[in-house]
Amino acid sequence: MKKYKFLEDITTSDAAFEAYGSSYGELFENAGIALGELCTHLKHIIPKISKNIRIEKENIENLLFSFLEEIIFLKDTEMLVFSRINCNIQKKNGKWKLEAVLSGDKINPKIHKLGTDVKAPTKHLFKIEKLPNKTYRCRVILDI
Amino acid sequence: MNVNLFEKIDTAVWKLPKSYRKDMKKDVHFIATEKLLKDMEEHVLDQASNVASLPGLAGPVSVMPDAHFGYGFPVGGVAAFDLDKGVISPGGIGFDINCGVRLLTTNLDQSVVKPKIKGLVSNLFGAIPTGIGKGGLVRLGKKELKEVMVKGVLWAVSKGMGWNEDLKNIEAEGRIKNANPDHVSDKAIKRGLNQLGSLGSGNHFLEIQEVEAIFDEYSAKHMGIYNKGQVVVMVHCGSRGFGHQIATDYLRLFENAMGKYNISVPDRQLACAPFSSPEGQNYYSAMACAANYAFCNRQILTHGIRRVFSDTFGKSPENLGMNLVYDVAHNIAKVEKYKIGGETKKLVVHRKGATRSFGSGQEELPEKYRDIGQPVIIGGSMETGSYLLLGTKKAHELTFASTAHGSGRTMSRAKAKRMVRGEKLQRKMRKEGIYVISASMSGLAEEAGVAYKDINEVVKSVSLADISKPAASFKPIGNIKG
Repeated sequence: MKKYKFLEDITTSDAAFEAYGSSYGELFENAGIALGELCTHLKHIIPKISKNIRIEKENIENLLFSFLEEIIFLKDTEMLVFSRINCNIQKKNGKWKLEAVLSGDKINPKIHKLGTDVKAPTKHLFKIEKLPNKTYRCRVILDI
Repeated sequence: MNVNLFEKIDTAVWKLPKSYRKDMKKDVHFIATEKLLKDMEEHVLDQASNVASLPGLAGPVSVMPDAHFGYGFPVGGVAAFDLDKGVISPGGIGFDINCGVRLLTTNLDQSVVKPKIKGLVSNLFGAIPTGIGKGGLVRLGKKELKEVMVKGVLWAVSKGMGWNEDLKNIEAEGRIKNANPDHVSDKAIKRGLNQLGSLGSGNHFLEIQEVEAIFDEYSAKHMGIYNKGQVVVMVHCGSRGFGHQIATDYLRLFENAMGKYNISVPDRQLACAPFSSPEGQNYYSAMACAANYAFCNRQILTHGIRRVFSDTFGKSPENLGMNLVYDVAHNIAKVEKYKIGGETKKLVVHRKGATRSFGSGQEELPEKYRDIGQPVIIGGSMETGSYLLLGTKKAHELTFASTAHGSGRTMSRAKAKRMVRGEKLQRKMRKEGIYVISASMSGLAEEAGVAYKDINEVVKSVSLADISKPAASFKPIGNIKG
């Protein structure tokens, strides 16, 4: 199954992708990787620094939104981009909980090929859906 | 766009009546030549109609000739609201609060600069943080960042990173006064600590240009533009991750708060709150913090630019005549006075991808500009050129003193990256006499001229509509990008 693809005709001034997964966890991992791939070629990012994050939200859309916000936050505050992401998502007591381990490295303009500086996820056309084949797809437009 | 939907009410002014959709409360005025109007994406019409449905509008919504699809408001959208009955909407200001542009003069001729352009651009690229992963020239503690939020450019000047006379040549003197750091989240603060004095990426740039043509010699001289071939420097950037986080925080807050005020919007990116509500006022004061950060950011970059020019040409920036012509925001909300139904009222004017365009006689303008009007800078793509214009009195009547800000994208970044190779574009531009260094080759490809509207047609539109008048045009000779 494809992990993600970048969309060409959906936004003029920003970046957009679709990500896929056989579970919510895999969907979130692939969305995180798609975001990272916009910033730099992740194949050159050695996953040597890890960050654990925990987020809890009332619905799955807000959970994904906050997850992507957190990745951007770590990029800006600690200069990190993540090439390996593991997500565990559960619904408990009516709330959606995410526990994730993000592994990557600090961006080094001298050795990494730089892409786009992603600034924020947006709610425009933001969607998570379960497909007939029981896999998941999301669409995200990012402000850059 | 179907031109038949519009009524032409003046040269380059087209009215979409509020009867177009039953939820619209005001008309929408599109400022454009017929060519630009026809080529404008349909989404702009939908988004402008959405804006026209918001409560408390004081007059028609305006759409500028460089408009394209945005979040909530179209980029190139202007709307003014009554302070008591109207709303404030982060989507009407944009994620990059106070993304804006400034212009610096030099007394150098292109014949002196061009032989040194490679060294100059390389030195600028080395000195000015650009692109992802680079911290700013200035690292702040929390307390200092809060000072920046309140003092804006004054903070930079007090630290020796600017001249006193720079202050009056900046919109709001580089400091919007209602800023309150208490309404800025911890997350935004953390993002802002290490980015002050950085250019960013995307369509942000630091461009060295030469004067190509002078259309209004008297006004151009007042702005420090004397000769064809004179070298100037243009800087375009905003409030970095700091402003983006504030926008995200308040969009989330407003989405949840709208029910309290019985407001519903056709697009959740238009989430808003009454301007006079606690939420509205808190956002406005946080927006001002981001705006002041952006003004300060551009000031610190100016300090860096002056130093590089000084090192390259062996003279002080003062002796190089590196004066600030003007600095304008193009993503902002400002409280300004307008005549509505014979009465002067204060309104909150949202400009998203639009520039203020004050005509002559406005008290806020520095004395040297009071009889000619406010300098307006409209930046083109990195392959074409840019313009310096002046605000007009007509703009006050027609567009709440607003005009275009750039040439507007016509092609997605993904498509531009697919069509254009960054390295090939860089070589092409160098052959054409534009020496560009970019931190990201894919980023450079995204900014290819082919992805933008024709700047000359945009300037023609605003000039025909008389919302700003061209004073001079510039062509690029050097550029650094993130």
